Amino acid sequence: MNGFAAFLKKEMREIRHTWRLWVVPGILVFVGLTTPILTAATPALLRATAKSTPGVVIKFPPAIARDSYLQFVGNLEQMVLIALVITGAALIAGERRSGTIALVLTKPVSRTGFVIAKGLSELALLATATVLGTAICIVGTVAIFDSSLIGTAVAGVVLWFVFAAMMIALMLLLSAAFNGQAPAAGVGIGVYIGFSVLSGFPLIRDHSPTGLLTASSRLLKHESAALAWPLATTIVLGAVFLAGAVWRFRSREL
Amino acid sequence: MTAEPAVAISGLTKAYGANLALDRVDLAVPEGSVFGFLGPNGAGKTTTLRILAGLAHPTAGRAKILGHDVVTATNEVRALIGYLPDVPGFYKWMTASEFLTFAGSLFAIDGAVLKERVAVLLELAGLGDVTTRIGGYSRGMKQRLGVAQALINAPRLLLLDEPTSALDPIGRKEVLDMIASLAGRTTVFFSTHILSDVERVCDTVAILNRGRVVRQAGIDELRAGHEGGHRVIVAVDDPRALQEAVMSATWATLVEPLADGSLRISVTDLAAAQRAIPAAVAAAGLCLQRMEVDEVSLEEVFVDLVEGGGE
Repeated sequence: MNGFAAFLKKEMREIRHTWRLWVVPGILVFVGLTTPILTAATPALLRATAKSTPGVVIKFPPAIARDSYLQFVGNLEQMVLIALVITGAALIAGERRSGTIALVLTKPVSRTGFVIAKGLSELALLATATVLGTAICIVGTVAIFDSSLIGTAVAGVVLWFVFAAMMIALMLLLSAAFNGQAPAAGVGIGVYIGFSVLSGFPLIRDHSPTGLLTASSRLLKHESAALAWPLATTIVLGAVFLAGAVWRFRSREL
Repeated sequence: MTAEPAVAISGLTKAYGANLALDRVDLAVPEGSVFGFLGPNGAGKTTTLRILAGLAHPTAGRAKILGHDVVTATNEVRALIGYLPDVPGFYKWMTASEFLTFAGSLFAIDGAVLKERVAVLLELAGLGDVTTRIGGYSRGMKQRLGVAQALINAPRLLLLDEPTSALDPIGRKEVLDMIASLAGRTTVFFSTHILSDVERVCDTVAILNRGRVVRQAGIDELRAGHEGGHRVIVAVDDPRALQEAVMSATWATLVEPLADGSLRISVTDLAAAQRAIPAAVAAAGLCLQRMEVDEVSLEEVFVDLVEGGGE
């Protein structure tokens, strides 16, 4: 007997009934919707700003589809990942704080199953939101600009998603390890900042997960982007984080 | 039923840093019994239950439920138990019906069986007509829902941590009646500091104090085995004469005059005392006005064992 499927179903239902539905998906939809519009409006806004300052002349090239996608993936790399870290911190710590964990784990749900169900539901939520947000951005970009670079943009988003999946595994580990949501989120943001800083060093960037953090931007700019090492190390590190989350959760008291 | 106890604890020790929450606890709970786990606040009752439920790990010793070590208990073992923590937590966005359905589905109960159980347990919990979300429930409503969810799988072993602590008198009576009705079919292990609850439904009790079991016995045995376990109140026309007559009896341990002129005689053998006292009254030519058995209350035993630091 195993209550894994029933617990996973509860997790999916919970997304619809709680704030989880609105944070990461809300940001992705908002970003997808506004990015093409803001990108198109940015040159005009800057020219208007320049006109109000006598003597200042700003030459700004007209925005193109690439600018829209660059802005979109830039938001993914920062705003969405930070939101993912903060919400992910509550995945296990939140159930512990509310006391629901005691009722669930004294029933036929293994601790391993509990962690995996949490991870799968978060991954499903992120995947759905990412597809939705990206689709909205593409539709807006095609409507305002043209249909160029759609494939590159999608490839960039896929690479970002692999990195984001690893961050979900990291947050499962931190949420399992810490008693509260705040310390888990704090450490998660610290790790994210560490990855961002390290992505500035080409040697590290090309041989670690930090390469995926900026890969989508570099692809859109037609810069060379080494992908094999970043992909392999991200998958391995994600698996290590997930195994660590299961191990930590199985060994700790609730 | 098996000969093996439903709960078997040996040398169970739990330390939180330098603080010893449980100190070499030994317990055996017979299958089918309603077992009261008594102790003052901080005695270690919740820690014991959390270890039995698999939520906490023992520092030393062993605990077995239904023949399985709690440390390595699998889903198959968890499927046989029901557990209510002292402060149950629920998903606030669910209704009571949704939560019970979810709890049942974790046990792979579905279809008409689940629907029927949910309806019965909602009635038992007094939540049959409540359609609001759990987030708006009072503590008593949550406690009753907690008891209901612990019963969704018709468990062989029911672990209840202070199940009546947040209930009003009617809710308490209903929960105690329900616990009593399970006797013989389900082993009920419940912790409490409400002694009247234990006297009402338990057949066996253990008293825990400062992490150690100071006594485990059947309720009658506990009272009888207590110093001055049985007492007989006797009223005669000349109490002093009767006092002298029974002082030397082997079954009498203490004879105390009471304010109303009667005597309270503590006895080791109630039957012998009930035969000998009327004979002594007659032999002394006294007039027997009243004679009744005065049982030692569980409260007296509890207070003596806990405050006296009995071990």
